[in-house]
Amino acid sequence: MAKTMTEPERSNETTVYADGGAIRSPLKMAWRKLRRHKLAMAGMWVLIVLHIFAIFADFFAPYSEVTTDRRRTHHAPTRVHIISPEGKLTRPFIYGYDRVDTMRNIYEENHDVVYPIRFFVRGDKYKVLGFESNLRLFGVDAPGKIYLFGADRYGRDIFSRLAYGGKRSLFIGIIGLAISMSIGLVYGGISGYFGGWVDNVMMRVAEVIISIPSFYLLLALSAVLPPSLGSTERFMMITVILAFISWAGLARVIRGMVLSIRQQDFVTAAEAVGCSQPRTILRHILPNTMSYIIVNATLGIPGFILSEAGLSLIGVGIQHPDASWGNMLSEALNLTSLTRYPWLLVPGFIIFITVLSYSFFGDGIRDAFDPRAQT
Amino acid sequence: MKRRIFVLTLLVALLVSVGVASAVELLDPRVLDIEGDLGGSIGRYGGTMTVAGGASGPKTYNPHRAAETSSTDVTDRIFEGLVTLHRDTGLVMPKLAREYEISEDGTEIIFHLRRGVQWHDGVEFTADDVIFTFDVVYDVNVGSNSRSGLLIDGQPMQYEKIDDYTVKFTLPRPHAPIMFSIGTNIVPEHLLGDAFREGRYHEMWGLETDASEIVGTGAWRLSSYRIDQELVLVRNDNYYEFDTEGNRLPYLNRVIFRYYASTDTSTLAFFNGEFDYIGIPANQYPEYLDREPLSRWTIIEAGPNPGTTFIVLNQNPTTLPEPKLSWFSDVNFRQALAHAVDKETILDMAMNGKGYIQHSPINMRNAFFLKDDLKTYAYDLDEAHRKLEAAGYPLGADGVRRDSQGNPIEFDLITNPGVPIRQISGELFQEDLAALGIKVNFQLIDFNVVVEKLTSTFDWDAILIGLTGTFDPNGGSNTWLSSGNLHMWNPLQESPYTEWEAQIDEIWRAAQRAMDPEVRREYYYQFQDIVAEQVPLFYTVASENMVAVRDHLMNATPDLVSGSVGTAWNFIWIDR
Repeated sequence: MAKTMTEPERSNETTVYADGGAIRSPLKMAWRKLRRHKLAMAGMWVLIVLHIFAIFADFFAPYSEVTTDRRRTHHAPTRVHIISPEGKLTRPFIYGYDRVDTMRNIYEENHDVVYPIRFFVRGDKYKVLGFESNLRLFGVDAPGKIYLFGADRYGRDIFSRLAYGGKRSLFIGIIGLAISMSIGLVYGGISGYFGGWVDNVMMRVAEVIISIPSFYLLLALSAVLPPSLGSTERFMMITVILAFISWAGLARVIRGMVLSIRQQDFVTAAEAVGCSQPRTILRHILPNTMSYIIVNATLGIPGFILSEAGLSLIGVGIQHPDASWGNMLSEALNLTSLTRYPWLLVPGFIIFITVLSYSFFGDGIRDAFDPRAQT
Repeated sequence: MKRRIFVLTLLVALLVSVGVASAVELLDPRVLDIEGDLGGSIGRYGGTMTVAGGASGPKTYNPHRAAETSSTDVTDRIFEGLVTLHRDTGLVMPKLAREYEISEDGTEIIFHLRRGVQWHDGVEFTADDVIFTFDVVYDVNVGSNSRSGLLIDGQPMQYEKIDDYTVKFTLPRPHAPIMFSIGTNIVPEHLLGDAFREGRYHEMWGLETDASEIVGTGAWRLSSYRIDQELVLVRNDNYYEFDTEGNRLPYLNRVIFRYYASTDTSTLAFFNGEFDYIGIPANQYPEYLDREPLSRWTIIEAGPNPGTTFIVLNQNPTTLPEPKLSWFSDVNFRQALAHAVDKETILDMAMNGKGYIQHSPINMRNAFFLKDDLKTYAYDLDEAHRKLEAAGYPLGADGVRRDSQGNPIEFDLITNPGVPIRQISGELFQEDLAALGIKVNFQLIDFNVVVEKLTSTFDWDAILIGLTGTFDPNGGSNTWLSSGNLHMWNPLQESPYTEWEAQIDEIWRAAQRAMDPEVRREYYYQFQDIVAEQVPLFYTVASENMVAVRDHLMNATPDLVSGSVGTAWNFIWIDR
């Protein structure tokens, strides 16, 4: 008896008897539907690849994000060859490059110098997930340099910086969302559960926060961050700032859902057997908002990514020399860069791909969790 | 026959001019030898010239309230001084004054004014206007930018009206550079006198004033201004300058300033034919260079920009806490860090190699005063490391450099965003010092905040900023005298704080007294040696001044003094 009472929401959920009579949980149902959504699956795979690329940036990137080369400013992407000068298929290699025009930064291949691309090479030391290593996926022998996506003004490898920048640009969304979700859930849950004047006051506060023009608040808050802040602290602060201004909208929706859920019988039942209020909210009411939260989360992450990019683009977000996709893009903000060094726009393209993937994926998730869209 | 027609025309012209002009008769015209002295050609009348005005327009029309170049670019067209500088030699030339005499001992200057010069409203310009202008400039409440340059040891000059066309200035002591600052813009007593006496001068001639009410003596009258979009100047038909063939200047009918928020937009506007000439930002030089062969305009290279860009370390004992104060006031520390400024790379990255490496505070265009065998600090991190080790800042095994008390060396470096050379210099400096085990927190902060820190709150560690250059070295008084307000590392000192600052003060004052240029040069040479030894500022690079000029614009050559085309406006003409 007691066991069924502690998990009363079970009784309220849609349990569907699929073919064969096996009972499928809602999550499994959703997954089945999601798998049929081609765009969403494509988006998911792109995101998985991008996140792995970012987490293991140290392994995938041939250089560290701060390795500069002052004599290779705005180096063009190096072309990878697999056909040797003799016309035979060979292991991939690149030619050395000469800076033939220092004014316009034009680099030309020097066919006398060949650098074979080596795999699993030893490079700069790094630490990832607690392991120390210096193994890198690929590289070329010094003094050669491989720039798959070209180099920026300081001769840093854009490909490497994309990987390192992804650590910040991608995970700012996930961490930020986790923070804003937690605040939004608890705040909305309390407000909706208690109702009355508590609800009134809490919602007015939330509305005040919603009504603040967020980008200007962001600007103001980032401007007061002290310059001596380390890059990790700065990253965390920016994440917190972003989360702080985005929880209120979520809290309002959660509060609405809670208001309707708490009218239901299983909540009354939980209260009747003496569940404490926090327990009722956390264990019985909030789990029922889960599908909304998952959808909201997937669709909310791009907002964080774009905000970080915007902040870093105008110079108040992630600070040089640390990479983020936004501050990398800021180098492309002028005429000369756009016309002469178009590879500086690659971070923008990656942001575009990421946001698009999240949108497709979020769309698929929403359809998958929507009970009315069942087939 | 021909002669008769000529005489007839002259007679008609005379009659017309008498009929139109008021009773004021111009007795002392100023004749420009455009072909000989200025290396140009006699022009034809007419046409409109459009120029790029930068990101924003003037903030005021009042020449003694104007503080930034966006305003002075306009007011310097409308108003003029008693004297001006020759655009190529930098020598002092009479302007509103017909001639001037300096007494034997150098303490008296008498200006004889041009007779018959008219204000734009037709009233005659006289000695009253000169006296009034200096009353205005010396009034602290007005806050004129010219004031500090006209004080000698903190004392104003005495000035009196001898007659309507003669003014006498008396100096407390001989002061050679006074002629470079005495040409401050003269303002009309008959229009501003009452306001000044009522203490309202600073409210006069703001942007709300109707264009027709702005009255100067200059070659250009204000016609209209749409704020931060477009400003139109029209020709002053009664101007007192003529070419050698007797044509009244200027040749052009109108000049239009057009303002665009970004230099990219201005550049594109120039490519689209909107501007007649434009200053080329060094980082956009390749865009111009590649288009030039296909276009009907020409790039003119005009030598180094007169301004400077540098990193300065704070040494202010009242606001900078220890241990930073000890590091920054240690000359060995500064010399070591000076070796960590990679000027070559800054030049390459920020200016496409179009520029000059800077070592001296003296304007690079003024070769007469520039000392070329100065002690310099080549980019050499090994040398920087050796000097730091020797000076007691050892590099620890953990890669962190500490002072003798064991404090890790770390400081903030700030600059304003939007200037590529500053951002690049700062980022390179940060990286190089990191290699030396010194942590620099480099941050871009709004320009006004940087200026506020520099001039009033003094709470900063290191700043990367620039100064505009004056042709005469004495223009640097507010930077190099220990009492100067732009003596950035420790400003407004009551008495020199260090021995070398005392030496500079002394040399500087001696140079001001010296009337013989050769003697002055000796003093400025000594000054440059001290600065090179003490390195209060780490100089970086100066860009090449480059101008793109449309081929139909004649006489539009950059001058030798500043590399700008602006000084040629009065004799530029359009060849259609």
